[in-house]
Amino acid sequence: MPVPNTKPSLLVSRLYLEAVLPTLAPLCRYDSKAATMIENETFGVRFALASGEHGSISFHDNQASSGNGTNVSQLNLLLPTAAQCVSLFSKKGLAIPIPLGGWSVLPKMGLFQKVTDRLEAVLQPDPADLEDPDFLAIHAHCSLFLAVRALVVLLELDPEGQKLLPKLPKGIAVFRYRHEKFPDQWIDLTSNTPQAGEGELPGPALVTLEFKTDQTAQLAMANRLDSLAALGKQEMVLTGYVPFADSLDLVMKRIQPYLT
Amino acid sequence: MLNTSSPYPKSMALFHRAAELIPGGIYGHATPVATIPGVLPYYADSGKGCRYTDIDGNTYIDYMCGYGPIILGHANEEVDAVTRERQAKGDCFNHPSPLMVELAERLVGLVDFADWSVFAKNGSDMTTWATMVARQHTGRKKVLKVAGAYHGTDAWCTPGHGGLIEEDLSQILNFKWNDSESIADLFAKHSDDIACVIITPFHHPAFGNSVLPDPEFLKTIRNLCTHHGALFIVDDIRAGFRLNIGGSHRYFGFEPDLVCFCKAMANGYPISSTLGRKEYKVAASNVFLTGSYWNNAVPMAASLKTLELVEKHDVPAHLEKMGQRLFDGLTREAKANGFEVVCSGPPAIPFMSFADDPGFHRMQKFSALIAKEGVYFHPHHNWFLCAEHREADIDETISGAGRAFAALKAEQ
Repeated sequence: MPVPNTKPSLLVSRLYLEAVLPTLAPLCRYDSKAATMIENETFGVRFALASGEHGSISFHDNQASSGNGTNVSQLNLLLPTAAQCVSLFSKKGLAIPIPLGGWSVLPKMGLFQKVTDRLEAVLQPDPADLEDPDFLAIHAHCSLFLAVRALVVLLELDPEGQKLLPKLPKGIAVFRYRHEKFPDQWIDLTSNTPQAGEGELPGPALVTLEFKTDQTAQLAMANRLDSLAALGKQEMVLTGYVPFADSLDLVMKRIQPYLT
Repeated sequence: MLNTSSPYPKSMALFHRAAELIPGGIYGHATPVATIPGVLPYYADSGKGCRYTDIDGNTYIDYMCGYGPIILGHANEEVDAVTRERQAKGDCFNHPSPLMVELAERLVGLVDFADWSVFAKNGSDMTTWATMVARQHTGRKKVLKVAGAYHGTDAWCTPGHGGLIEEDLSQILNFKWNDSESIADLFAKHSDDIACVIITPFHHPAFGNSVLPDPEFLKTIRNLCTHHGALFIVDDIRAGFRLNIGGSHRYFGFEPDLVCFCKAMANGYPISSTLGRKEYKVAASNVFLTGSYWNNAVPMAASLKTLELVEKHDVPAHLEKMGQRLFDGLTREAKANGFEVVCSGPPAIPFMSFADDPGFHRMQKFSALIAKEGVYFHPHHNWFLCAEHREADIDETISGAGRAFAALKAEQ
């Protein structure tokens, strides 16, 4: 079933809040331009819909982190509707977030805009930029980070994801990138609520997909990879319960259509 | 990126060429992804008996037999002699050869409930056509199948995801294997619109153990079909002629209305068939059926000779005996090395996996290790035996398995 032309605003807004926004964390960790932008900055931004969905990012100690748990001044922005949230993040249409607190952070919004512009440049790169191997690696890792978190949203809200979720095995799928500096990304379906994370696994992996080349990861994330050929050539290595990865891939292919 | 440390340099090099030209490099069930890429060979060169040699010169005792077609062994001389003879007279004509009638007579004579037979090339040709016959006969739409069962590559049954639209599956309902209540529920909800039930004679999912049918489950299907006027189709593509020359329904003791055969019926030559009861012959005649090569004479000659030899040598009994010997040996060697294995399926179509290995990680490692011993075991698909697997081959396999289990133990 293709992604509908009229994309559900709540789903897309949650993709922005729970997948795109958190990707600022790896961006600032690995991309020197983003890292320079946030150097010595300490502030946070929280976006919340009137219906309660929210996402936040904090900059502190020369890094970015998503979610709660940091004690920094935070600008709280209310987006009355999911449609406005989509407009704000996609830069299409009118969106006027309402500041509810954290006024002292307002002057930092120009900087925040610059960091998010950098994220956009990394996630939707100019093809020429991909010729730089360092940039390619960061692009691929950030795309993978985003995809795994988007997967959680789609399994909950996308019609295909919803259909698939009850049929998926109760296990952990791991996505590994060849560079050691990039932590494993994983999705955990062992409980009733899918969870995404990185680094140490919460349990044994049921399936592991490892990208052996930067270009393979980039093409995979862009839905432009002949996966069977790449696996046969061992540019990707898939071990364990392959049908699990196959099913997740089916949903992952739907991320990009929702975000474009 | 060419893996220069691969034990299969020629396979890998050829695959790199293929990947430039052929989507997937190798697609379908033979894709390296279905096994363990880089750890098992990609391309075959030759075969004889129960062994084959890949293009890098590695020879294996073959426990896949081309995924089923090879029942008498690779390059069987008697079968190949009749096909050469037939080939010399021509193969593809404007008309069928008399062999078509001979083969139909032969098959109808073998399958106890059957009154007619048709021919095609692949399993999917026949499973799809059989469901169409059921729809033609009943005037109904719905097809009931077991969740996770494989019936081919057509849109209604493909395990793939690409290229499908919602409507492809809108009339296909799934029930659970060996769950009589599950299928009874579907009949209760849709009885007036169920054209047929299609099952494999035993459940043999990829990435899962094989499961034999509960006799009560088979009886329930038969009764529900009879009561509601739906057809009972058995997809005997994979198991046909391996368990019983008259069809797997005789091995398991049930009575279908239509049966689809392929794989083992011609020892590797391309042909498939559906057989059915006389009351469905008119409907069958009304469902258009043809293909460019479906009347070819060579595969029909091969099938007649194959069936003759399978019957003459009671191949199903031999496969059962060799399969049991394999099961016993694998279980013994596993235990000796501290592993618990699960041997599943009928012994003639065996499979082994490790207990407590839901991701098949251990099985994948074991398959890689035993490949080094010259044994080709698929890590997550049922295996196949052929008439040329003799006791010595089974014993050689078990010895290799012992070393592979020991190596696996050492790795842990």
